[in-house]
Amino acid sequence: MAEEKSQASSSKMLTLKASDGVLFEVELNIAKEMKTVQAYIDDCEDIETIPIPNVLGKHLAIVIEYIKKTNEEYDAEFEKQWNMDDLQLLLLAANYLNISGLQECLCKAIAKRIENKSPEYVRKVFNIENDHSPEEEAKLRKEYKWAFEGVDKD
Amino acid sequence: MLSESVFCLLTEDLLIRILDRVNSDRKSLRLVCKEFHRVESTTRKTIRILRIEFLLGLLQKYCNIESLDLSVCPRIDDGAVSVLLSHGSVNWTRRIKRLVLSRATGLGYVGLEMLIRACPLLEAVDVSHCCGYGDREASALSCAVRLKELNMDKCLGVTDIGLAKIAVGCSKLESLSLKWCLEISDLGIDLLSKKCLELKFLDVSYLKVTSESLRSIASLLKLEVFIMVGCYLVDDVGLRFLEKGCPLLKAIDVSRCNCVSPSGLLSVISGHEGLEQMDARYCLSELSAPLINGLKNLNHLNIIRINGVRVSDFILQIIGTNCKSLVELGLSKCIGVTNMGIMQVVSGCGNLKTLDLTCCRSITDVAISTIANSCPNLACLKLESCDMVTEVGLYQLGLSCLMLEELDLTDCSGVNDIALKYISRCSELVRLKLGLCTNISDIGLAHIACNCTKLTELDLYRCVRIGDDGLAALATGCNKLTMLNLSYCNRMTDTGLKCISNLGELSDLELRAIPNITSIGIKAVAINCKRLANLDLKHCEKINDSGFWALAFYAQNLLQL
Repeated sequence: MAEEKSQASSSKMLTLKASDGVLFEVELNIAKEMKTVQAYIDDCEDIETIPIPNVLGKHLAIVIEYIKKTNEEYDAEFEKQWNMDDLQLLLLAANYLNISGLQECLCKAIAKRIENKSPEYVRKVFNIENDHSPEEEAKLRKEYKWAFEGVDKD
Repeated sequence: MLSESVFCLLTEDLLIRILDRVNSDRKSLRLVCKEFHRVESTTRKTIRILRIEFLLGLLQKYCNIESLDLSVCPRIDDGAVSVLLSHGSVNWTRRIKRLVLSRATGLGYVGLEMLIRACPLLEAVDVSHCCGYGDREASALSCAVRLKELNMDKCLGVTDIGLAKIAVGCSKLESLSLKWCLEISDLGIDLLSKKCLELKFLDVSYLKVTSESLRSIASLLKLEVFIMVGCYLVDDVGLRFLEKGCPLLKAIDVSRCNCVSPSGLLSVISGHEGLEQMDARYCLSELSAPLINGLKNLNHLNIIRINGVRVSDFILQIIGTNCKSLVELGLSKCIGVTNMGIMQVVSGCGNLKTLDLTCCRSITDVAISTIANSCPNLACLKLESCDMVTEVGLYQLGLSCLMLEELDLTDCSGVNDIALKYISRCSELVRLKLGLCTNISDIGLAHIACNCTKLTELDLYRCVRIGDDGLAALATGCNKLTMLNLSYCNRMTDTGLKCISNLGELSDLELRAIPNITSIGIKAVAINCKRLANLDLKHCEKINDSGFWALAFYAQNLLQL
């Protein structure tokens, strides 16, 4: 304990525990990018292991990697690797951990994937069911008939 | 693979943030599911209604809109507004800041007043081209107490009385446009200047006001932009009032004011060394020596347009030496523009983005090369009728001006296929005019089609050597084309027209006097070009009724034939 206190704070390591028990050792300055973790540290100074109950180990690993490497080039390539489910879970993680750069990057990535696509495509991509009744849907389609111009081929 | 959709876990505010970043029109996303529909409805801020039968329903759903555009909604009238405002909840009015009612001639003062009174936060209204509007409508407009922007262009019936009501009622007005409101006189302008002290933008073009109006306008201490195109009753006396007034003036437009002379313009310049924009098109015949000297002090000028005036190498040299921030220079139809003059002005003004040399016939390749080498940021170059320009000069242009978006080479007989090959290096080209360039053929067009994929407007008027092959290349390479002029391209046949029908974004198509096209081609266009709005088929002798039936059936958006 005393040893750790005498070290410079930038090289102090912190442990984050994901919801499935996986542990990650990260440097303090990386962990501080997650505002939620920062708040935790501010509250209890001597904490060593911080529980992150809402995020799976797999996603926490990706988030930490992002914080370490983020720059324009990395961001542009980053979002191409993940499917829509992962993107959404990462967004939820970034939201919980309060990392604004990552939230922005992920919102843009998801938006880009649904731009100019038909409703059927968007449903498939998000894996959601159409809960409009057939009458409602027919009415909406009629009202917004012009909405279908300019849609990409799926 | 998750058994349940992850989407259910996304909170509403995250979905809002995602939808906010969708760059295309979000309308189709409404159909995805109820959640998307609800979120889209509550976050939509602007709406442009196309059909009146949906108006009520749409407005009930979109209660957070800030901008409502009814300008293309036919049959909007007092009755419709009355129904809108009495039916059910009128939540949609509470956030509206901007109303666009341009050309909504059916709406009268009763409906207008109802609408305005229903929108407490209204800041901007556009009623331009409502030609029947007069003082009663002006009175309705004056109810918008928070109004900051008002466009009343072509409201022909408005007189000083109506303007007075607006001046008194809308004292926070910052921007006012009164083009063509011919009944307004010096009295109205005087009252306006006394009441609307926040005015930053004022357009009195074509009004029958005299120099006395400028005496009043000079007292507007916050005025930054003043436009008085075609005010033929205003003379130098009026401009002299401006010399000591409007201390914040940044832009002035005295184009087509016949009674203004260089001395009047000099008065304005002398008082405003911070001037950024000077428009004096077609009003001066030449620039006097004192005026030229006065230009030396305008170091912040971004835009100079002096179309139609006589210039000299010396004048252009002064501009090049002193107006280093120049971004746009308009010398269209100016007399005395030579290679030397151009070279002197561009070597000083390296930041030029727009250069208009229409009808400057003495310009040759030497000038073009210098322009290319000095102005790498050039975005717009107009060389109509500069017939000594050839591929030699355009080679340099294609090499150095890669940001070029607009190029006008109408009537430049020196342009050939090699020239087009060089120009095609400018891959950012959006608008290209090659009308009357009779020396270009399908070969040259293919070069353009290959590399200029961002092209949206192409003019090939009377380019008689263009045929079906060139059009096939065009249809493959330039799929963003919205405007295409092929009039008098008499080698074209239905095959070419079928290729054109692949251009899904096409909205304006001119096909005058093309003898070999028939209804078969027209039908292909009608079926596939869904956005077609304007079509010109004059003198196409082989098109018969079946062509027109196809148009009537398929072309849903056609406005003009």
